[in-house]
Amino acid sequence: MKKHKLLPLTETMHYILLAVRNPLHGYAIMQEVEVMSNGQVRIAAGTLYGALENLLKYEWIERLPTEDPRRKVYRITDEGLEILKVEQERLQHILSLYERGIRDEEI
Amino acid sequence: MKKFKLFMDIQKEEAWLNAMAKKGWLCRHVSSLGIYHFEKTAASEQIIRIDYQSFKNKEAKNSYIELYEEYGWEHLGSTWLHYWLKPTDGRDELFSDDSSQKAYLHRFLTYYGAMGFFLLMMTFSLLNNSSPYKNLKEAYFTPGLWEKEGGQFLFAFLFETPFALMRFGSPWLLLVWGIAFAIMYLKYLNKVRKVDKAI
Repeated sequence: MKKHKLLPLTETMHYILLAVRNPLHGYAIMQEVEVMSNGQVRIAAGTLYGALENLLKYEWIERLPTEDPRRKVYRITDEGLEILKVEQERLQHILSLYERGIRDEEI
Repeated sequence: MKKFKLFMDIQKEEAWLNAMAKKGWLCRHVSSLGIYHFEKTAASEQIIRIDYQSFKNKEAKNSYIELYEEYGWEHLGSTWLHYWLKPTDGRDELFSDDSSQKAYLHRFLTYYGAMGFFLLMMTFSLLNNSSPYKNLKEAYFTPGLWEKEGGQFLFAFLFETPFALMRFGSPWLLLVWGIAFAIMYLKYLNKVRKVDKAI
């Protein structure tokens, strides 16, 4: 896979994509991310707006039709799930390097 | 209290609006012409932020405003900029990570660059095209003006002077504006570079 402009994902993008595996509206995404990150990541309004527009542009998320047109609900697409899989492999590899520790014999 | 003030630097404008709020003059509305409507308030624990966005369509603009409102930001109005007000609560920034902060600065950089380029190109094409701008005398178009004498001359001369000055002055005014935008462009370029270095 050719390296995408948004890869590797920033912390903000990562959390948003993980959150919208369930359909969520704008402000609820911020709340969900705050819970998921144990209060560490609080996405500001402008950052969330820009991230959602960017993710929509690359069709990694989609807007779901709702009864109330004022309430915009977002959900990850298949393409977005593919991206998460690529990122998961990358992070798992890095984690495996952490777990292997320092190999004394090579020093 | 209504007030009009022209700012080149958006960050200075934002700082000024917040300094006014500290003094008890809270901006409650910004007209599309950029006139600030202030109200005298006792409680001034409010923060104003200025944002700059360009939208593909009306729907994109609506969803932008709705999202900010869900966060508790009150839309004070918009010129080419958007003005936002919120009680301070420790979440007073519009951007929470480096890449969106940088994208914000980049939008201004594009704006200043495009305006500066456009104004300077206008200036040069005006200066190249004709001569009324190099010699004030040639900015007077009345036929035979300089051959007239006495009262007749004075009347015709004074009558045309405002128009001649406008003709003569317009490219120089454009030049001053163009240079001002170019300076802002360089200033924001420097800001973007600083953010780049910090990452």
